[in-house]
Amino acid sequence: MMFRKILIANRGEIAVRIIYACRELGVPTVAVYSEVDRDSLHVKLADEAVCVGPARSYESYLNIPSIISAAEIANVDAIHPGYGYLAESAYFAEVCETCGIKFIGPSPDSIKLMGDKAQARRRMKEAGLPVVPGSNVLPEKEPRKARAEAERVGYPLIIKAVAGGGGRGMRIVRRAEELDSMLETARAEAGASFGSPEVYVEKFLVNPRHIEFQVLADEHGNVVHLGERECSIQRRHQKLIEETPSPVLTAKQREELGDAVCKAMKQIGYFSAGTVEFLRDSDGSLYFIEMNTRVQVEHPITEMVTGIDIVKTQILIAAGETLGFRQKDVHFSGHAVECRINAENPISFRPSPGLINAYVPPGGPGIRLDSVAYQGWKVPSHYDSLIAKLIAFGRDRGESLVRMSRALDLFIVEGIDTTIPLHQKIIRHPDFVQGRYGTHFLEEAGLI
Amino acid sequence: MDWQEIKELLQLVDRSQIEEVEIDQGDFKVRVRRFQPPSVPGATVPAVVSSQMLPAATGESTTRAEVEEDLYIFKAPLVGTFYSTPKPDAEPFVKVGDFVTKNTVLCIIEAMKIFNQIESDVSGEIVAVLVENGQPVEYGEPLFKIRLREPARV
Repeated sequence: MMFRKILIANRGEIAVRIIYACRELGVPTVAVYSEVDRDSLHVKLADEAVCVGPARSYESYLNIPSIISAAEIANVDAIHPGYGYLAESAYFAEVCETCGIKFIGPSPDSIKLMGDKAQARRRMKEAGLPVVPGSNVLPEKEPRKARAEAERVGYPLIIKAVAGGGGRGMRIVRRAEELDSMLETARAEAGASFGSPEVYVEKFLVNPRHIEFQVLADEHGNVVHLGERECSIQRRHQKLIEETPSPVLTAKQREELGDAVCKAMKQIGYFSAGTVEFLRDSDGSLYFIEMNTRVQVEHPITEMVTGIDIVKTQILIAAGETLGFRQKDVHFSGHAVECRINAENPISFRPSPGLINAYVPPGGPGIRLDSVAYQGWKVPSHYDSLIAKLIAFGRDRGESLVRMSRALDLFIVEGIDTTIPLHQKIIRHPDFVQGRYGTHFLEEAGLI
Repeated sequence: MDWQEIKELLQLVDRSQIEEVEIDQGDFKVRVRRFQPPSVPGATVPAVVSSQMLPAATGESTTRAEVEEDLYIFKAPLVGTFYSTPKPDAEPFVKVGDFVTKNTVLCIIEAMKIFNQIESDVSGEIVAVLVENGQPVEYGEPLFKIRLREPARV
């Protein structure tokens, strides 16, 4: 049974994207907004809108009682959380369930499992996904055994504190000769920071590539993958550009890893949309790092090459429908790339809120724009700086990059700074054009 | 011009007799105008404070326009369903003409099955109830008009 009315517990471009999906499904929408978002596009485009609090996110977009209260007064039967905010809150998903409102996403248990990164890695390893090779705790009293363990994992490696986090107790060891002294300092640091000197080692990936698989699974046990997205162009772990297919993944790898991902999802009983993230080492091996249990910012590029509407499918799954297609029905065609247009200075990356006094978006063949910006809109300073996602599609990578290039050149945004000038440089950089890049590309190319 | 310089400019204007000053540096323009409370020429206190103090100071002679200024709009502090009464058949917490003080319960807003008693944050007379019993209200939605008055002075 399709939902009567859906509340969108989010703002920005993803709220607009969800409104588009709901309109196509014929389901009325309710937007929520904070006081400073009164003029936001999602408020204008939704059928109804409810102010849920002041500017500060934890009093509005993260305020569970207010969001649920809005859902109740608007009489909706489902909530789409988008990404960020409450999207990966198992507690919120549980509250929705208790209140008889369908949470459009996976089960609270799946969110919990994947929210605990160490547990997620263990579970995915058991389910057959490759994880970064590592050791058990290295015995402090038996240095020879520790050296043998390190040798088995292979250099370069990284020492990590068992109780650790935030970089404390971590050491990168490039050669065997450095191991003993590095272990000593790492143990001392771990002991001082976490009260436990226990450490283990993991293979250290130098300038790895970030490759992720999109999955869709219904509540009846059907699982498909929609191929990969390469998201290596990042700045401080913030993705800037994504593309699919990846320039380095072979068809055989896609098929094998895709199959393994689907099997793992079946094993944990996952349903809804989700993304399984891997790091690819320079030798071509891929290792599971984590899973995002929600719709991803970069989902449109997958929609472009598969023709499958991920957000609409996610809503249909939540309404109890079956996928209606199998893996063999998923066909990949062409190439798509996405640039995240942020309201930021392209050199200092300082946020650039303020009035947009001119806005002329690009169009033409192969161009899609998922945007929340409009001329006369004042970008608030309280939130994420993403204002638009520019997506280019072409028969092949060459064509989509050329289209992206001309679309960036003809995209006019005045009044605020955006990351458009940086994207222009990356898209035309010879190494990027050749597909030769990793997660440290921006530093190595001297672009930041 | 940076924030520090703007701050200094404001202080300078504040201390002087200047009514208005405009600085134009090509691509940067700033204009500072002294704020004038409309009803009390020459006074430098903010309008909100002056209107609160006016009735006590001028009593009966207060003009109609000035009275409008001391109206306070009480807004919903959370989103939910508005109830004017503690129970379905009970009398409302407050009616037009009632005098309320800080912490007087004005209404209930139900959010997630929890009945939150909403208290006044000012003292004064209720001059209008702007929403119906049982009506859904947004965060920040105007609920009551209250004419600001100091608590009962005899």
